[in-house]
Amino acid sequence: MDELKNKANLAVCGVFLLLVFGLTIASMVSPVKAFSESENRYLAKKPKFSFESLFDGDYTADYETFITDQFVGRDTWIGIKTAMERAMLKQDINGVYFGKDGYLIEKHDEADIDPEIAERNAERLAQFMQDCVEAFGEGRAHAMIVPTASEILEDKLPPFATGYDQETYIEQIGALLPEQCLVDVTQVLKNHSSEYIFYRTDHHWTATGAYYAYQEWAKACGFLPLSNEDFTVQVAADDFLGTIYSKVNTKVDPDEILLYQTGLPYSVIYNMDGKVKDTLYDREKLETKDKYAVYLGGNNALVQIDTEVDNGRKLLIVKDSYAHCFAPFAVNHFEQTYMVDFRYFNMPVSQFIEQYGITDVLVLYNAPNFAADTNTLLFTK
Amino acid sequence: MVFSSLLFLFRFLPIILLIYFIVPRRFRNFILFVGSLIFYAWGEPVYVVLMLFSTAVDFTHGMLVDRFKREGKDKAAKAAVASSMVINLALLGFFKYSDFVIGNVNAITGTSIPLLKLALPIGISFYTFQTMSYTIDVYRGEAQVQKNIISFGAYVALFPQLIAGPIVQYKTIAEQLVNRRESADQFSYGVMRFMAGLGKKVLLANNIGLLWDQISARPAGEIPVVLSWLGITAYAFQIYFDFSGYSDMAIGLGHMFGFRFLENFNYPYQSRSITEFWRRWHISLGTWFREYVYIPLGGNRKGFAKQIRNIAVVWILTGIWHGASWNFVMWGVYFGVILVIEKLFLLKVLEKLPRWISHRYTILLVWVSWVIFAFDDLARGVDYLKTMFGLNHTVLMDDATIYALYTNAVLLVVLILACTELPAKLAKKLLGTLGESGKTAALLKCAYLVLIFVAATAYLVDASYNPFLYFRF
Repeated sequence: MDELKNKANLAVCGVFLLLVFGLTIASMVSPVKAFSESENRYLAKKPKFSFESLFDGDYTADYETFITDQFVGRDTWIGIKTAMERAMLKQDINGVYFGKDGYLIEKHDEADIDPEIAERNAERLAQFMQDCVEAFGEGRAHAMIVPTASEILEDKLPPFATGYDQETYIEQIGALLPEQCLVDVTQVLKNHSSEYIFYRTDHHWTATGAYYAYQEWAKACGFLPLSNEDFTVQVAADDFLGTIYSKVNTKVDPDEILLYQTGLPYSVIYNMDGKVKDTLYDREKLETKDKYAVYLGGNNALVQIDTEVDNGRKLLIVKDSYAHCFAPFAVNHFEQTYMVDFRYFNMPVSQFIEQYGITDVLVLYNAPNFAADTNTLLFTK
Repeated sequence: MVFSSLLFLFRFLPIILLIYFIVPRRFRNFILFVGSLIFYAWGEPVYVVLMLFSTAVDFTHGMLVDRFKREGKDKAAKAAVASSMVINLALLGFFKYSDFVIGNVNAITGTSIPLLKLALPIGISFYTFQTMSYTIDVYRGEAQVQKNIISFGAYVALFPQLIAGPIVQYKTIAEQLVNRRESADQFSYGVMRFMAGLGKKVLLANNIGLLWDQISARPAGEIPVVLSWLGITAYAFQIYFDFSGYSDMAIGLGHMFGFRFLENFNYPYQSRSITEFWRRWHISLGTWFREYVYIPLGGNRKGFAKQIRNIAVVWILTGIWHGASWNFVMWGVYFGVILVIEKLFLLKVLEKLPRWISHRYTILLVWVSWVIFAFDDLARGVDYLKTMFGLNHTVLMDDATIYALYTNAVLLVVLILACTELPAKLAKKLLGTLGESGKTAALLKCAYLVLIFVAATAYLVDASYNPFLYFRF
């Protein structure tokens, strides 16, 4: 009897030691990965030892990040955790809602947004719009603060899910701005909410969503918007798994990337590097994980687009990445378009306008991003 | 370093197990001592000096007390005990309470003495209490003096109980320090216990803690009544499963290395009175204060007035031990007052009442205490309490409340069951019918072990997911 009991206990000891030592050794011998494709970020590398970093605690903290980032089978573990949470009826994991129809929807909590920063940004934008209206005249300066999927795809959210009230924030901005400056696309996006206007696995809107918003903006500018017949729409990829997918590593249907093509000639220069590209779409990016970067090459400090339009007008778009799939529509009404991203481009906007002879301005951000943006001081300089 | 980290599970633990069991028995305390110092120094490289100082001080004081006692110099022995207490309490006071004192002096006298802003050395409240108990026990003749500084150092620094208890009194493991026999049976018990603790901490406490974080981030004046109760329930579960989880892991690790620490939690949320609650919650702290404060002050043997004074002293100290802030003092006083009322008459009433009433009475009072405990800022705590009792006139519930309830429903059921004796009893019964030694029992145990191990590892790996990522896009 005792011997048998001993055997049961030996089994427990054996399994435990196997798990601890097995995973330790596997983790130590598995090669260090520099970049995680599925999370789309650089993983921590082994920190360099120095007594200084040891005593201020940096070394130990970095070492722990290194071990977690490089843990063997990292993606599988994240998948296991997601599966467990789903089994517990959790409807949101790592800031992602598991919505209906296979939609993963990024969650924005009231607590994530600092109301003071949100209000400050709105005021700075209002000041900037005021300045632009004075400089360029009415109908030449617009702001488009785009609500994200959690606001528009309400009926796809889990029951009773709540979040940051983007619609109210956009209305507050509208009240501060000079008349006609805000292009409010909330309603038009809601009207098309049954269409494929947001990605299921990424936090961006699709080119189709951007197209509906473009129509509103073109009307506000007094242009006749290009119609659907003016484009050939190409499915450039059907295996896109975006940023939200990376947060949960669960099995979902991948997204499609649609390219709206006019057949007109364009010349595109990224960051003034002197190399002229002849397309708005950087197809090399379709081979990478972040396929959304196909639209105007992804995040860049400054992008210049020239067209064959001859109206003497030059558009400046101050933006976040929501503008990347919007710009291919907008550029068709201007001789020249500049896209500026304050996160990477540190020049007061007034100076830029003067230097490049800008005649029209569009500010385009998604609402939670704009509410939390920390670079808006550049609007006022 | 903490137990619930990949670093501990997949670097520190395998290395120390390997070395500990390879070396001859006579070096094992040395390995534990050095290993524990590394465990502590990880992230606190400077404060390890403080712990070594504390160890050296109490080691020499123990020797002095012992020598004076043998020479019959009781006064000198007493002086040595006093000297050890003064040094330990001075260390604790300086590092833990100076800013609290300075802040209060500034507030009262209008001075502006700058705060020291010292980082609190991890575990200092635990190890100073342990080393004090050693000198006192030697003086009282309840423990033999330890003449080997390595063994003594291993006791003070012993990594399983170093950072979050239990507070192990020297006399309870004096014998094990020198004469312990590790065995597969004990190791296997340690493994199962460690797993239970790891699961409690990583799977239960961390998860329900998220809910409390979300709810408490909202201004109390806006929280619906039901959500405020759900919030403090989440906190109550978080603190219990976190704290008792750490104790389980400590006890489990102790067993792996051949030690038997005393129990620290005994299903406190089953209690039918606050008196009973404190016999089941953080037992090692209650025991410490009883043996080294309450009883030496005279306990209940010197009349009712003195007893009340003694209770007051113990509970103010218990409160402030939990943190250098007024809300912890209030928290201690709150329990002190309830305990006196229970002693006076309420306990007798509670014993006669049906179980469900006395149980609910206890839970209600404990839940209120957690509000005091959770908010450093007393005003915020009071505001939260007002919301709970409808005095802030917030709505009963909103969409967020329903969402929080149904998405946490399964977890809450698990938590409620897990803080009762039921699962342990069922497991015992099941293993009993299967035969403790049967193959099925062994299989079940291993399955339980693998399940928690895999789940906990998954949670630890994913905790590192960097949510800052979004802002790069």
